[in-house]
Amino acid sequence: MLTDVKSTLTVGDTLVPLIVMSDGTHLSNFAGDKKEWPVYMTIGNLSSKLRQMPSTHSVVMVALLPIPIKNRNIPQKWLDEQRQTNRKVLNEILRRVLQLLTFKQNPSAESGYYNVLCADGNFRRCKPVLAAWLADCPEYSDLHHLERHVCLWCECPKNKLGDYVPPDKKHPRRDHNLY
Amino acid sequence: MKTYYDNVLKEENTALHFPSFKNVDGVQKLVASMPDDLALGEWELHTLEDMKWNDNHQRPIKYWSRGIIKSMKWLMRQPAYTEHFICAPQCCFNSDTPPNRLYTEMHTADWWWETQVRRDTRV
Repeated sequence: MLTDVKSTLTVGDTLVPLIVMSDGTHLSNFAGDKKEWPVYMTIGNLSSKLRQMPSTHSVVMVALLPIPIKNRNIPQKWLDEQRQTNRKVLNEILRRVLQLLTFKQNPSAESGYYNVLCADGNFRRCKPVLAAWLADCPEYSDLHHLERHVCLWCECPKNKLGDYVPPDKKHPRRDHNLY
Repeated sequence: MKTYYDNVLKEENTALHFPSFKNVDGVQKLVASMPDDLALGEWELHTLEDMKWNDNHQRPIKYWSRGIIKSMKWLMRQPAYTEHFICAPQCCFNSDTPPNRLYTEMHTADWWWETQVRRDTRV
């Protein structure tokens, strides 16, 4: 997986945590409900004070994902198959966009390291790592292909949300590779 | 269309002899053609050839994207961010006895330490 860093960096390398953000945006009700689905990116090396200011332009748009066709126009019996297709398309596109961040587990391999000119004029050997994906709850359920209004991180049933759970009877974590 | 600035540039005898830009697209094209990763990458239109939405929608699936590494390099080399640039993790403490650890920015938390610093070289 992209987020798994098995071994730490060697001495002298610089970590570049990439923070990716995405959100589907409704544009217009005319011409058949136009939507956009942008993916933004920033780096964690900048302080949050700078990152949160829009005037510094520290957030870069890296991709525009395609909008799936409406489920309304599909007969009920094809709906599951259509959801599978949407899942495959989204996974394929995200895999292609983030392909350069993947690296082999072999520590001697040079893949995944880049010599980057930094702001202070020095070159650093940088290792970009996907650190966080910021999105709101409906967007997460779109990305993980879950139902709406379920817990994203554990297998809690819908009617048990918000109930007290003793620490020894916690719900199991969701394995996102299954979906 | 000639403007005042064209005349000034000609009088100053600079190397910039192009006329004024007519639209933003011209400027952005020139900026994107800067050599050696100095600019943000240009947008590219990709097509998924072997995939389609379903049998009724045969149109190819297209999406726009931009090089994620180029964007990272562009963010790293901006001189405006020099003062706020962080390239190593820190441990911030509020007081010595008892030690009160502060977690504020991303580089003061544990994740950065665990990812970058090896356990045997940690102080």
